[in-house]
Amino acid sequence: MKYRSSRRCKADDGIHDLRFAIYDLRANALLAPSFTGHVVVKRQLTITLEPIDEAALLTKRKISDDMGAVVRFLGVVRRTEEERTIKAIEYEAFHRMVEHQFKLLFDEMEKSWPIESVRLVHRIGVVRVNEPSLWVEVVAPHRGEAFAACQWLIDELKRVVPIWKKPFA
Amino acid sequence: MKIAVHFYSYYKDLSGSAETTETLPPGSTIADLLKQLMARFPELGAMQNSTLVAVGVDYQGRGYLLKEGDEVSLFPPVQGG
Repeated sequence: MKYRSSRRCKADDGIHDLRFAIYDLRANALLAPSFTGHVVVKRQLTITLEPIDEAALLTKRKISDDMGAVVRFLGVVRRTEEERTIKAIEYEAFHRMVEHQFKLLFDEMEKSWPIESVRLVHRIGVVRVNEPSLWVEVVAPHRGEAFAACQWLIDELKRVVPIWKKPFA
Repeated sequence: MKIAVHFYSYYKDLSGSAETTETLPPGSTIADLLKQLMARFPELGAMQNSTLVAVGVDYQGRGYLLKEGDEVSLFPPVQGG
């Protein structure tokens, strides 16, 4: 079974569809091979200037009795950026488009995996080295679906969601 | 027709502004707009092939037919995460 992203990010007509991703589910043991159902996924998107409060996020997590897997991902600012030592990264977002693109990504997730909920927090503004800039949580019945959906969401975020970074030395 | 253009990330530095307005004849495409912008802001020229273009909040290709009132955003490849 192949999953094909239904959206295109056009960098150049016809020739340069850099963003058109095709995933072969059979190639990845983590991915669900046969999901055809449709569930309404609980979604939460937060774009914030504030530090990510993981403890507070965890206390608000809700999981139904049918769910067996929670995958969380934390993206942290590294000390090196393109072989340069940095102190921080400043993130900039095109907010309206960020919200729209995430909605499209969450729609795709809903069609592709039987996940119960997805929560994503992305910091903007200045984020210091060793601080998290991204927090993602996916809840699904099994670990394969949760890992796959989370991985896909982060990959797509890095392809289509208009957020940019500016490193500071 | 008048088209509002917004720049993001280091495109603001390259163009020297966050936004501008371009006047184009009816029937113009994004490719026409980019050609006009590259002539006005030569620093953007080197980025031409990697430039991403959105109209409103959706990505569009170079052949997209512009309409009066369209809000076009130009930016480099995204880097979230």
